[in-house]
Amino acid sequence: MPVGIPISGALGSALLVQLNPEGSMFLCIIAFGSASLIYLITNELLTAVHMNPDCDRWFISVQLFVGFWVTMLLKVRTVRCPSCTCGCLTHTHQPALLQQLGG
Amino acid sequence: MSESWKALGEVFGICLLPAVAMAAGSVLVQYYRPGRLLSTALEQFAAGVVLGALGLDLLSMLSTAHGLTIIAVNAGFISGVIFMFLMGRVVPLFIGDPGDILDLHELQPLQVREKLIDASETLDIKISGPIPMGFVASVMINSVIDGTHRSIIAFEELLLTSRVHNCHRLAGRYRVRVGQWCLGNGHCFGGRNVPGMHCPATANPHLLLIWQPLS
Repeated sequence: MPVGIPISGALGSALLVQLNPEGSMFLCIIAFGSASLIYLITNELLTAVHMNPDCDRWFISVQLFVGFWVTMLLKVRTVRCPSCTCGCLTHTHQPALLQQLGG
Repeated sequence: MSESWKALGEVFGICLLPAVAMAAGSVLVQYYRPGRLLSTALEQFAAGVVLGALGLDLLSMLSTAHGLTIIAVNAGFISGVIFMFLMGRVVPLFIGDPGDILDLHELQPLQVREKLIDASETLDIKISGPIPMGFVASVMINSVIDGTHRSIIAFEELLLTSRVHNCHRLAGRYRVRVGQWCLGNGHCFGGRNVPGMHCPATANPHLLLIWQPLS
């Protein structure tokens, strides 16, 4: 099973790179993936968490926000400013960032 | 090497990280089983990470939709929802409800036995031929969770040279056996999912269910 991850990732990448990022097929696949992830969150992860009444603690509930925060930090730090050449990962340039995040 | 091959190799390398992490986790869980609280906290954390990836990466891509592509986005989203719900319904028909099987791992041995015997009276499992579906389901879940090919090897060996220790009761049209599968050489399969399961007492206790249709 772990072997399937890099193989399917590479296959998916090879397939998607052929598509226009603003085209119908690309967006359709992204929307499909979004629906799958929402299902994963709501029907698998969060359900599993709330099935156990012993785990109704604040420090467990807050992990959801910590996870989101970590992703947000990674996202902000890995978006490079296209107008600067410093290459510094921590450097942020708001207009360029917004341009990249907004596509 | 062309740019596209380089990019493909880069993607492969990135995707290798979760694969390695999964394998490492599989090995780690053999020695240390996290408690309920830690498991739940990690699941909650994972939900947050996935939510973040969804909100920050995927949805920002979808914001470029305009005109007819909006129809494609809607079609993709709806088909994704339908696909996942179908998967949620169809997969348990073949391997049983993974949630139930995983829950059994958390219970104490006596609770497990009682729960399984109770459940067996209400289960409607279709069996055709000599394949013990409960056993197959357990092996599949094992493989999925642990990600090791040890399970596969054991499964193959088991089909050839196995015996089951008796601990069974009749349940409707089926004989339910709760016990261990051991190889012909005496090595018992598994041994980590239900610590302390004795039926009868041997090394490496492991729980498996076998439903056999009564002749």
